[in-house]
Amino acid sequence: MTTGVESILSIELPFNEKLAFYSVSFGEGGVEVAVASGFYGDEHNGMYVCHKLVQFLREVAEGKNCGWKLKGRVRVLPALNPLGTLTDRRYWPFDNRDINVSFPGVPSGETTERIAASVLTALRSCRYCIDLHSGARFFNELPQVRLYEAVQAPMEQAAAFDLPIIWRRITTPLLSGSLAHNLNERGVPTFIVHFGSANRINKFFCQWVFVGILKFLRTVGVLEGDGPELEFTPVGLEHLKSGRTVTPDQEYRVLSKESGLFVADSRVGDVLEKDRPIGRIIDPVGGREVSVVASPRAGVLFTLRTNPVVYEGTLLARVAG
Amino acid sequence: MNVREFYRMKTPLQEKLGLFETTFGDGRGKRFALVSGLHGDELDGLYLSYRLAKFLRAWEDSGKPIRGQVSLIPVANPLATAAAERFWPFGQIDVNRCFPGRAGDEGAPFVWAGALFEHLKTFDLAMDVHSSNLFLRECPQVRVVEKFREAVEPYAGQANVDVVWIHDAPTVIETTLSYNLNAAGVPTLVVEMGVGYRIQTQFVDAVFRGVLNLLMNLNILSDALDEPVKKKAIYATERNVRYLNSDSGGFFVPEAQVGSTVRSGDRVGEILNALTGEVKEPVVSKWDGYLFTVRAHPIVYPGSLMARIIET
Repeated sequence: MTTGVESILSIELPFNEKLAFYSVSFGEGGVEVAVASGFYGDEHNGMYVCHKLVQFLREVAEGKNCGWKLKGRVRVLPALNPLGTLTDRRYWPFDNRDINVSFPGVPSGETTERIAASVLTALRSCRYCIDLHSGARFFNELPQVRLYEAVQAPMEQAAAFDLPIIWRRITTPLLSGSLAHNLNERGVPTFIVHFGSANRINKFFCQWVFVGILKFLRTVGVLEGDGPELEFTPVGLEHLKSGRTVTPDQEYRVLSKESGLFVADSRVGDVLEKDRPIGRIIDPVGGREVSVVASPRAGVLFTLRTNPVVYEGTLLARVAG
Repeated sequence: MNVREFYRMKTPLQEKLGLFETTFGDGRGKRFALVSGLHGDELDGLYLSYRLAKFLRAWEDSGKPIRGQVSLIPVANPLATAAAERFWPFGQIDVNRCFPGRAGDEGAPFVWAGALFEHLKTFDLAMDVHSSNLFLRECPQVRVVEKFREAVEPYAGQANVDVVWIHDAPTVIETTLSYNLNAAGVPTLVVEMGVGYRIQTQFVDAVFRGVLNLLMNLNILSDALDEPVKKKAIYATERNVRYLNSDSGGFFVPEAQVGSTVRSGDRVGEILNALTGEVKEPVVSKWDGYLFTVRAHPIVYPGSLMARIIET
């Protein structure tokens, strides 16, 4: 069978219902690439990309798209916090626990630990994993691949996504409970792709990432062929080169020095000169401008705050310098 | 008695959010601080602070000496307490994972935590009072990190609690207030009791006596209790703590009281099926011991923690 839908876990809800965690696979043999999404119930871009991917892979698997051939198995898990998605909650709704800090999980533990254990079991034998995320709830993110540790393999493959930013981050104790860290530790290079913001579907960024995943699948040999699906122009952001690597010393965080409302005057993808204004902090009560937020460095604005309410110390933006 | 604001943060609407403290004493002696409400849903510490403030006010009014200093910081996360939420409401950040924090740090709760930590690290002894969470009911207990056992254990034994739970290294979180205060040389007792969103007065009464006992032993108060606390706490460690988890989902009705002894085979409660009127699962202790945690929230999923028992 080249296409299969299965449930990797069924959670018994307290009142006679069962909640299924679905996975859909295409192609033959062992899983080569897994695409996971939806750990956070308020992130929807990943689900939309999964939808496009499933649509495309189904056509290819059924021979309806002659330009492409599947040379291995791809597994897609679109919604890994279904109750969170259904109830518009970021974390597992019942106890507000974050599934993506619960890895490696416990098969007989609390619900989030069971989910983590089942996801890890489903993915640990694949060759690569892609974990799709929107920006955390207050941010808009330029499409980017994040690598959380110095694993040997993935730099070349990370470039295959052809996205503007590859951000190498240092693992913190909190991140050690993530799917990516736990798969990396088990020899499955995992690419975390962030794009757009929570509670919204950004079709432009989703298309960019969808095309990026096809390019990745082709680079690692799971997909063979060519077609109009790969045609994509990042209109308005053509000036950005792909695969700009950001190491921890090239990441410049812009923190708010004041409390107030942040009004952005820039967009993600803008190339900024040093001291160029990113936005302003205003005082909505006094009707005055409290301060101008300037770029600490020349570089690409790749993270920008969307929620305007800020306190002293609130993260406003990240610049790749 | 002096009530003062030792830190204030400007809000986005240009109002102020303050950290308030009540102090007692002449400043010539040991300094003790009680902090509670780091989690906005934990309320026993508010009542404990009230009991202590009332007691110490009367003590002062009667002309009796308070040597050194007693500080009460009952509402350490006021925005969360006001919003009836556990975490820092804006962004749902656990303030007790933001320590040591510092001015200029990323994120308001880290800046806030930094101000609290800087203030508390000059004390001789601190008590961080917690009330479990929405899900579990706890008997009064002090939790001690193995790494700081030597400094903290003598005080834990004086706090009039049922249980002293010594945690081993793997379960320790290094970003809590207590970890950072202990690491900075301020012995800090983490007290857990009751359940979130409720006040359990008899548990607070016990810890109130424990605090007075500590204040006597620190020589801050004399003869505050008719007789010193003699209660011997039961020790819990990774070797004797047993966890009872559910197998099925449903709703749980407890039968046993937290803080009681159980025998293997005794019923702690039942998981029921509201649709059929059937018992889905009796929750039964598999050990002889002391029941120090019982689930308070009725809704359970498979794997939910139902009880913790110290096996004897």
